[in-house]
Amino acid sequence: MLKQRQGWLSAAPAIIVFAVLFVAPLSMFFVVSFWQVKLFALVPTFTFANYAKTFQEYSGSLLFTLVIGLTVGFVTTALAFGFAYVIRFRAGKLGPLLLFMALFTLFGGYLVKIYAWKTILGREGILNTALMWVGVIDEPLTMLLYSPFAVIITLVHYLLPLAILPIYGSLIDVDDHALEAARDLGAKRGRVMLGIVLPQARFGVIAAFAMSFLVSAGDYVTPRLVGGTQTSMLGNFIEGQFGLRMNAPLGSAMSFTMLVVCLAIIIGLWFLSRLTSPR
Amino acid sequence: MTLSGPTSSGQARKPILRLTGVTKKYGRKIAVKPTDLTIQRGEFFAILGPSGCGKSTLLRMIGGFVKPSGGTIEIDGADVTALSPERRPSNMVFQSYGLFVHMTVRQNVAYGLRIAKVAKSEIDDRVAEVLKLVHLHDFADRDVTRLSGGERQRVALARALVMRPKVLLLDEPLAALDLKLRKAMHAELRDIHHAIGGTFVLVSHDQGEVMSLADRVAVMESGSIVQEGSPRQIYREPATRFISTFIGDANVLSAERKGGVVKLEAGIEFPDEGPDTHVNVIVRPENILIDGDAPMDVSIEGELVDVIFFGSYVQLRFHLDDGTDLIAHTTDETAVCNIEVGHRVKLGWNYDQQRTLDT
Amino acid sequence: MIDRLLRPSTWFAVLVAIFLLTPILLVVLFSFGKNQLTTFPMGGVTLDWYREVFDWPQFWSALKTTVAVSGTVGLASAITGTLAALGLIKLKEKTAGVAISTLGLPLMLPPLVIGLALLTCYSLIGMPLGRISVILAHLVYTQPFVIAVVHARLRQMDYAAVEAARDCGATPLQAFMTVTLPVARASIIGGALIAMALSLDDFVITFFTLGGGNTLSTLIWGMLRTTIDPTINAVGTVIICLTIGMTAIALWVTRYRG
Repeated sequence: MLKQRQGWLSAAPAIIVFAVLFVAPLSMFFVVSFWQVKLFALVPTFTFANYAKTFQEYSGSLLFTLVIGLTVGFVTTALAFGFAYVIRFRAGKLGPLLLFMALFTLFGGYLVKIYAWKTILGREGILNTALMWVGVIDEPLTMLLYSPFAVIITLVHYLLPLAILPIYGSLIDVDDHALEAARDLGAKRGRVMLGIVLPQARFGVIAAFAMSFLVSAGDYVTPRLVGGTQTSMLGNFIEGQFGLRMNAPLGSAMSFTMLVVCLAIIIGLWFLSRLTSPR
Repeated sequence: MTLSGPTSSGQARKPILRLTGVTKKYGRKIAVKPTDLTIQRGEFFAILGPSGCGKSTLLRMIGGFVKPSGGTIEIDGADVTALSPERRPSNMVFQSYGLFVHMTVRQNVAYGLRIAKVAKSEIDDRVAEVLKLVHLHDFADRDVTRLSGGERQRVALARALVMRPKVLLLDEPLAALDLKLRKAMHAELRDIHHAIGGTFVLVSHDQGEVMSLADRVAVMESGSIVQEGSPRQIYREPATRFISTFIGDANVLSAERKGGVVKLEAGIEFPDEGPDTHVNVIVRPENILIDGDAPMDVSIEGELVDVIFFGSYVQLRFHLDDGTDLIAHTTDETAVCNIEVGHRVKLGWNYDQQRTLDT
Repeated sequence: MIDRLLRPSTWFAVLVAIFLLTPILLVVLFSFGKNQLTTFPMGGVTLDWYREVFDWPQFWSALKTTVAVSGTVGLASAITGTLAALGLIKLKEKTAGVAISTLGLPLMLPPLVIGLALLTCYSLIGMPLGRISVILAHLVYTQPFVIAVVHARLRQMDYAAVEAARDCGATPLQAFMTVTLPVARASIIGGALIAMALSLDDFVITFFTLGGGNTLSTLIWGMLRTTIDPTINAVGTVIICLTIGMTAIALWVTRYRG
């Protein structure tokens, strides 16, 4: 049809940007994962050595990264769903105000936010000072900063507004009358939330979870700044391959290993959610 | 009034709109079968049909929004089949109105004239004139988003009328309004048609609307026009069983014709010339006679099962012995008082009030 | 209102909002504190940190680069995004939805992977790193926002208005300029501002594709590793003001125009 051809033609610039600056580089990056480095130069070959090395040397780090990523993903998605649910259905006139406050923090500067948590959680940071001043503790808590806990709370804080968006977006379309009908038919409020609202918001919830899981699993700045030496995530090692070592193929293999494992987990959880959700 | 398009008396008999074999296919699906249609200057013409019958597609082909798969469309003697909407001397009132939400009422109405680069003073005059005609002169500088449904409808109408179209196309223009407003708009539309004397083509699925507005009606069913005529003609002499029930209420009685005699399943017989076949006998409810002394050509017994009071008339439902229902409308309340639900009554009608349709 | 305030569910949402806002407010607060360390007590109010930042030539050059990059990204993604939205509106809603999700994929991936893929790609084809390479990198994940916002507005628009314009004698181009564009304008501007905020906010992809020089976010990165005094808070506050200002304008523009 003519109309459709015009449509695709008009979308062409965006599609070209997507193809040339996303699909092509990623494909090229993927191909590089089978190459090798000799004397600081890339040598096109076809070897699985980089993947083998990834599993041999970094599987522990990968596992730790997945645990952090899953924790951040679940906590972020649960908080985001709760928040979006309350402002959509329960908070009345306060809803738009609360939503506005959340969206306000959408772009506060990624590094600025991490830095803020560093100052809050530090040994002489705001939280310790405040707790000591109140008298809850006598000595500053040292395990706040430079710990997995610090990484998780910082990532949840950064990803939460981004996760609220798709979930709230999918809750907007939920028919209020369907909720009233469910209550009318005798369902308790919690049951309505899980049985009526959650299935309708499934796409938003999955998108929010996938985004926060993938982004936190692939982060390296947060663990670097608030994680300390003990909590290096895979991202730190991947980034390391591009610094002094100049080993792009290994970095690429590590990246794709992480992406594939994460995608497998997301798809698995997706099927699990379909099995458990009521028809 | 000076709103109508240029007319010269010599052309009075020439049709303003002529469709010849116009058809529309979407892939293998045929939305409109080859259709011929002639509409005279000054007519208020209506295309009536259920949703999905192709009536809107037909109207949009006249307006230029849908390209016909075949056939020709002539407006005022000129072939416009290949022209895009902006080059046709027709204007459309859309079902969803299609108002320009970022403009005021006045800007909406003036839009077409400004595109046509009409002089500013003339634009002002014509806009003022047409806004007065649709009773919107007090709303001229209001944003259209702040108008009610009925007011929006008038803006859409004014925006089309100001262009002085040779043919005004109305695509379900009142469908979004509530019943009361719709009835008020019927009267107004007729007034406007009288005032400017233009040619209106209305598409509607509402038979009441069509009856109260149109001079002439074409009934469409699954992509083709099945009957054309005045509202009265179509009501009195429906060409098909579908039309008889779509326009007004009708009792449709199943029967067999054999050797010039029609035998109803309910057990009555009457002579009727025609081939041996299954037929439907159609009788309007208001033509059913109840238990009166008046002579009736056909008579039958039925049990009264239901009475509904509609204000200006009363509807009675009878159960015939073969199990079919017969509906009767009467304005004579005293006749109703004499019978009670459960009573058996003599019913009937006259030959000239019935219509026998071969199937 | 009062009974809504007393509900535990409302309190939950309020706590989440406080959790989101507090760290950012603290950064702003301490940028005015006299104390060398960012901790309580603040030790009085001062503008010294801002004076120090504004006297620092590197800050201005980073700001200049940032404005150039995010301005261009905003403009470019407004163009590609709007064109795409106008095209997708002609397709079936389902097809358009799939296309929008696909074009939005770059938002789902870790910036690290996108940044490294682009870095590797650029160096393989011999593309020099600089502002251009950063702008191209940002474009791929800012345009989905413009597409989504403008497309949603166009879907919501009554298409009969465009037909009515044609019916009144407007050519397709005239109908576009006088009807479609004015209706979509607010969302185009809003989308472009969000694109600019995203571009300004990004660190990881910028870091890998910029090569030499600094944007505000790579400048902060350097400071985080060398400085501990509240000049970081001052630069942070500048970034917060810029991004939140843009987001606020974007929300305002899109909210109040249809």
